[in-house]
Amino acid sequence: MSEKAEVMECAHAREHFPAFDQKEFSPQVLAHLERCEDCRTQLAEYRVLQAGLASLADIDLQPPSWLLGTITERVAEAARRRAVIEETRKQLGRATTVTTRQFGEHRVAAGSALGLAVLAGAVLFGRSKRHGVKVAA
Amino acid sequence: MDVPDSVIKACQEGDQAAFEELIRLTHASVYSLSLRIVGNPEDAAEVTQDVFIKLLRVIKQFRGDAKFSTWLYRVTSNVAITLLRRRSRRNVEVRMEPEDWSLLPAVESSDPAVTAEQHSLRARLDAAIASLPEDHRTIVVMKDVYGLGFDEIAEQLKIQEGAARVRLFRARQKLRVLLRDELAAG
Repeated sequence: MSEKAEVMECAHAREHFPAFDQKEFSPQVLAHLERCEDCRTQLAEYRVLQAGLASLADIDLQPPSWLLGTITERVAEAARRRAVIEETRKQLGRATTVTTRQFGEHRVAAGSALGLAVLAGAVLFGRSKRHGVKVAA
Repeated sequence: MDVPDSVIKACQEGDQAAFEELIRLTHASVYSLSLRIVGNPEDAAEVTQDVFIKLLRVIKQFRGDAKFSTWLYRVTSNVAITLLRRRSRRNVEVRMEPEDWSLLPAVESSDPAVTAEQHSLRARLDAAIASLPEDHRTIVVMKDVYGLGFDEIAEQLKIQEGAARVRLFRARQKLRVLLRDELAAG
């Protein structure tokens, strides 16, 4: 293979190396890797890089010494506020339930009163007709 | 990050002492991820506080489908990205110089496998990540360091999954060039 063709093959193969863990290499790239030590080295570098990066998650950086106390205080404050909101919500819920029930009772009372009024009106109207009394419209 | 299931369950039931234990066990990990995304200690501390306040509200949503650490990383990166957006709207970016990352002490690991050599590699990797542009840095930290999936990364960054893959591709190319000497030795 000419030097130029080999350089082109390397360039083509290396385009795939950064994504080595996401899709399989084509047979052409694999065949090139068999032949080309430089490309094998470069691919190995990507593998070492990725292993190094993955190991970082196990090494925590030291937070400032005041941070733990501040988080704990802020979280406790937020929890207190949440508790107050929850309690208020519950009380509002109870108040709404009571109001709805009271409204229901009022509705029954109002309905009954209206029924009685209609009945009384009908009785009066019937009596007035029987006695020949004209009822003003 | 090891959080016993009993602590998580107690937190979900509103146990304040358990929540304090959760903070103690995880705040360094949350801070580390935040710092790696936002790039400076002050903002990372702010993100860390906000994460735990958010957790108070959302911890009940953790159902155990994924590892708790992965779920917490997701919540953390979400809060960190929100801060980045706020910062970019104000056109402010405060970043530590890459070389300052080597000065940051790491938490002493109880894991004997974490050697002094790994701590030194850690400093060099963190410095290289810090020198990347913000969009590349964020994706390397989320995908290659903390193992989040492309789908959730794309969702959080509000970009297409394909765009996320391309960004990661470019970021890895840059990191390899930056760390060529170390990688060749490794």
